Formats: sequence, C-alpha cells, structure tokens
Amino acid sequence: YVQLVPSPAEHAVRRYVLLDLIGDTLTQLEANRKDCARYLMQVSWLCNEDVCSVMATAQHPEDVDPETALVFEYLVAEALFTHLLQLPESASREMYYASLAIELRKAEPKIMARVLETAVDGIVARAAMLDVECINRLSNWLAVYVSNFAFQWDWARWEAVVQEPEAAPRRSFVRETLLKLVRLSYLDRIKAHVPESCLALLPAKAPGHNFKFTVQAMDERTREVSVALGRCLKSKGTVDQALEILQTHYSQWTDVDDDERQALAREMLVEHVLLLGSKTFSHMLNAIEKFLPALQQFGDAPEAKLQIARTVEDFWLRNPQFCAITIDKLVNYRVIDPVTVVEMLFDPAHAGRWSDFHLWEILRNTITKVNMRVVQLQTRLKTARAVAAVAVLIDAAEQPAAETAEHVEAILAQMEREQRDVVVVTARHFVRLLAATDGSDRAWLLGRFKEFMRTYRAQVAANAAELEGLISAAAASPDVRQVFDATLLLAA
Amino acid sequence: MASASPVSSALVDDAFTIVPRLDRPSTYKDHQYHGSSEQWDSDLSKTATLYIGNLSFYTTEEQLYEVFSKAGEIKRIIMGLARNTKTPCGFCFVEYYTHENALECMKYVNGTKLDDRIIRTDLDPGFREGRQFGRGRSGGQVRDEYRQEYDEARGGWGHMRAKQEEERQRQQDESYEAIATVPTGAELQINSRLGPAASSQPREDAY
Repeated sequence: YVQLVPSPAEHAVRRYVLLDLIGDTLTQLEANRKDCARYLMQVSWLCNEDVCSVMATAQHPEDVDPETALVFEYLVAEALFTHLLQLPESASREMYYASLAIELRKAEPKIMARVLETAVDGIVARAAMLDVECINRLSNWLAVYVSNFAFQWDWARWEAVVQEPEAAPRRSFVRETLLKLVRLSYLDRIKAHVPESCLALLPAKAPGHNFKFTVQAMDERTREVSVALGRCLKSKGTVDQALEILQTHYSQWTDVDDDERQALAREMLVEHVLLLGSKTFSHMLNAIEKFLPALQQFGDAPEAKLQIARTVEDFWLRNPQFCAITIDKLVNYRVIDPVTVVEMLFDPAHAGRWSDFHLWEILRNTITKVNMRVVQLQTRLKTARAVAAVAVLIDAAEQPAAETAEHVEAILAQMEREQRDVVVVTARHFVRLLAATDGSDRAWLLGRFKEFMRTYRAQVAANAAELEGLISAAAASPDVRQVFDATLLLAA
Repeated sequence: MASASPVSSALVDDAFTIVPRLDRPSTYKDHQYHGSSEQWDSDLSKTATLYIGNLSFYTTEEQLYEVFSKAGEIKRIIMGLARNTKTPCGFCFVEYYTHENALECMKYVNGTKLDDRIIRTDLDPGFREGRQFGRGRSGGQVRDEYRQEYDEARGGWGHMRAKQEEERQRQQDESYEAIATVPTGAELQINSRLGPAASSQPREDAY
C-alpha cells in the first residue's frame, strides 16, 4: 500500500485492515462512484471511536495528527492511489479513480481537497523512484481532477522543477500534466493559471499545423505543383484530378528518377490532404476518406508507408494530439500498417525525446488496437463457425455461411501475423535502443519497455522463443534480460 | 480495465438495488425513434454510441477526444449542429467500438466536467443521418428554445427569453424619457421622542 502520511507503528495491523476494508468498497461499488464516495465517507462509522481519527467529524480537523492516530481520510486517499497505481494493471479503468476522487471531494470539499493535495504532493516528491507507468497514470489522474475544479491548482509548489533537466521525472510529470490540461481547455487558459516561474514548462504558441509548402520555403517548380494541387483541393476537385496534376507536373522533372518522383508526389499529396483536413478531426476524417484510394495507392510498400507516417508527424509536429489521432485513423483505414507506426516512433530523430508521453501513447494505442482487432475477429470466427455448423445441419447447400468462416479465418490469420510482427519489431527496437542509449533518456526507455512487456505479456509469452533469440543476439544488458524473464513469469 | 467480478455484481445489481448502477440508460426516449419500446431497449443494450449533452457551443472536438478516449478507443465523434448555421449547438454523439466502452463512459465520465460544464452522457440507439441537427424552432436544441437562464457558453439567453428581452428593450426605447433632475425627496417630521431625522445636509463622509 502507498503510504502518504506517517502512521503510528503500533497501529499497523489496524491500518492494514482499514485499508483492506476501504479497498473492498472501492472495488465493490465501482459501478456507482457517487454512492461509493458516500459509503466511503461512512466506513469510519463501522469502527469504534478509538480505532482512528476522522477529520470530517473532528472539532478541529487541522489538529488531527497522523503520527498519533490513524486518520481515516488519509487512509481513503492511500487506498485510492494504491489501486490507481497498481501494477501490472489497475483493477478498474484509470478514469474511475479520477472521477471517484472528484466525487470524494464533492462529498467532503475542504477536507478531501487538502488530503488529495497532500497525497499528490507526497507521490510526486518520490517521482524519481516511481515506475514510469505510475508517473503517467498520476499525470492523467491529476489532469482530469484539476479540470473538474475550475483548473485551480497550486503549481507554485513545484516551481523548483524548472531548474531540473528537461527529462527529469518530476519536471516531465509537471510538464506533461500541464500539456494534458491544455488539451482539456486551451493554452491561454492554462497560462493564466500558472505562475510566472512555471511558464517555461508550457509551449510558447498554441498548437497548430506545420504545412511544409508555405510560399517562402519553396523553389519555383515545387511552388507550381503545390499551388495547382492546393487550388484543386480547395475547389473540391476529384481524386483523379488531383492525381493528374501530380502526374503532369512531376513527369516533367527529368532530373529525378521514378522513385524520387513518387516520393515527391507522395509527400505533396499527403501534405495537402492534411491541410485540407486541418481544421477539426471531422474535417480530417472527411479528407482522408475522400482521398483514401489515392493514399492507399501511394502507400504500396513499407518504405512508402513510412514516408507517409513521417510526413504526418512532421505536419503535426506542434500538435501531438492531432498527430496521434491522424496516425490512428490512417491505421484504421489501412493506409499504413501498425508496424509502420512502430518504425516511425523508433526513428533516430526521437532519441532523447522519450520523456515525451505522446510517443508511448501512440505506441500503446496501436498495439492495443491490433490486439483488440484479433479478439474481435476471433469472436466473429466463432459466430461464423457456429452459423456454418447449424447450416450444415439444416441444409447442405448453405455454402455462403461456410465461406464466411473461411474468409474470417483468412483475415484473422493476417491479423495474427500483424500482431506477432508488431510485438517482435517493437521489442527489437527497444532492445537496440536500450543498448545504444544512456542517461536519463535510457531510464524513460527502460520504463516504457517494462510497461510494454507487462501490458502485452500474453503476446510476449506467445513469441517467447523469437524474443529470446533477439535478446541474446543483441547481447542485451542484464536489466533488459531481467525484464524479459520477469514478464514470462508474470504471464505464466 | 478488468470487468467487475461476479461477486461484486451481487452488491450492485438490479435485483437488489442496494446501489443502483450508473451504466444504465436514462429515462429519455427519442420521440423520433422508429421502432417499438422493445426495439429501443434492445438497441440500447448493445449500443456503442452515446449522446452527450450540456456542452458549451465552443467545446472543440479535440477536447471531446481527450475526455472520451479515457473510456476506450473512439470510432468517431459527430458534432451536433444548429440546423441553419451548421455551427455546434451544444451536443454530440460519441461512438466507441464496444458496448463495454459505452458503459464505462456512463460510469466514469457522465457527470464530470468538460470545459467547466457538467456534461451528461446517455446511451443512444445509434446515429442516423439527420440526428446531428438541433430540433428547436430556431435551429438549435429544444432546451435552448425555452431556457430562461442566461448561459454565456450556449449563446446567452434562450431564444424565447431573448425575444422577451428584445421586446422589453424596444418598449424602453419607445416610451422612456430621460430624467433631467434628481428629486430631493420629501422632508419628514419625526416624533420628537425618537430624535430628529437624519440631517438633511449631506454628510461629509458620505459619497
């Protein structure tokens, strides 16, 4: 259990029992967080008066001293954060613990506000010792919590982090939480709530796109293509018209070979499609859907897909949220593959940037998506087979159903191959990078590697032999081997 | 992430209603829904779509994505638009891939704040073309037609109230005459037992 405040040693057993009781309430009443909060505030009524102090009923809550007696409200906070930060997975979705904390504060405003503040302070003070995943979860939690109480939080208490190196755990935590708060509102709002001393942690400008073909940056012939294509898209031209423009212009570039021409055309099209859809996510989806045939045509080989992914990342360099969603949708529409995303994330250009949370977010979303697809297909296959079996009983001429089952089997096989690839390629990149990096970035990498192995341990175990070979071949350092062995044990 | 164990559901269950579950649909029924009551219930029991209400007109899709992705992977978000201006009018639909994600949204996101407003989520039978438009007479949502309170994030006064305010303004413009001088107020004799009235000379320390 997380210990947030000192508690008298002689009450250790009592503390454990109470934490257990509170923890059970958290788990049992997960389906109704409002009633759970109410009940939690009443759990102390179940105990005799001398078991613990209850700030809510004390004459002078400020005088309640955790060193002399157990304090009920702190125990509630300890149980909540223990559950939230539990590894490998928390019992319920992270969001539950955020919305439950909000309900607790609503139930007992002054007291729980202070208790939760102290709790967060205490955990953040130990950020250097926390698992990377726990830092990430706490950051998510804090962003939701603060955004529900008018974005009020005393950031000044952490102003010392500005002196720390950029990749330091505490500084990264504060920075990433602020970025999440910006996503939940907007930059100027958060700037207004942050003291002068902490402004360095926020980006200078509001997130926007990074369109490559701005008028200043181009040579004459590139400008021609860009302007022509831009006009075509703006006047709602068809996909064929767009492709024709690209064809006519680039075929005149005699000094470059075919591959180079394709690459240039690919980049030009992707940049313009992204610009077309740069207003909102719905616009982006519409733009992708309209140009889907062209994008798929241009994404014919792994290198091509990688170029598309890199163009997207470049375009949305200053807006990681938009980048993540665009990549996500492109994977959904099968313009790029999950493996493409992995390759893009482990690009050498990201060296030293693994303290940014969004790299891991994209990786995790991609692998989870692949796993979910496999599960869905397996369910579909079961239904298809059941239908086919029934059809066989009723009427031997029921061919369509049997074909469906085979069809699903084929897709499932492909998905499972993708699943295998994603896990193996990711592991290979991690091992390679961990061997080549050191310093604080390595700490982040190792943390993410641990989380990757933990979360996807089922797939790791399924591909144990190949990963074993990978790790031995790379002569990986002992901590990497340790993580791998521990994962296999966990998965058993 | 893991679903509730069988043991825990005994405590939080329809049959016992010791603690009512939050992942249930509200009592709202869409009067434009084509289908029987049973069909409605059946749709809601499988749906991965939610209606989200009480949004600010200025809430962006980015903010919606940030909040709702906490309950699962989002398939798409459809913004609710005013029929005439096609601008957001304070509601949207969120589609997940699974029914479980929709239920988790009801349990954890419904009733929390987005953009400083408490948002309401509700299980929805599914998006159909046309449902993204407000059904109020002025093009927005019906609730904004009849709202009597001033809500800055939802266009200010409700439409009916706005018209009333306009009417009052018009009447004032027509019939009001500027007051040229400030009246002095009548001198009052006070019963001598109670002492004199407050001096009719202005006090030096009064503003």
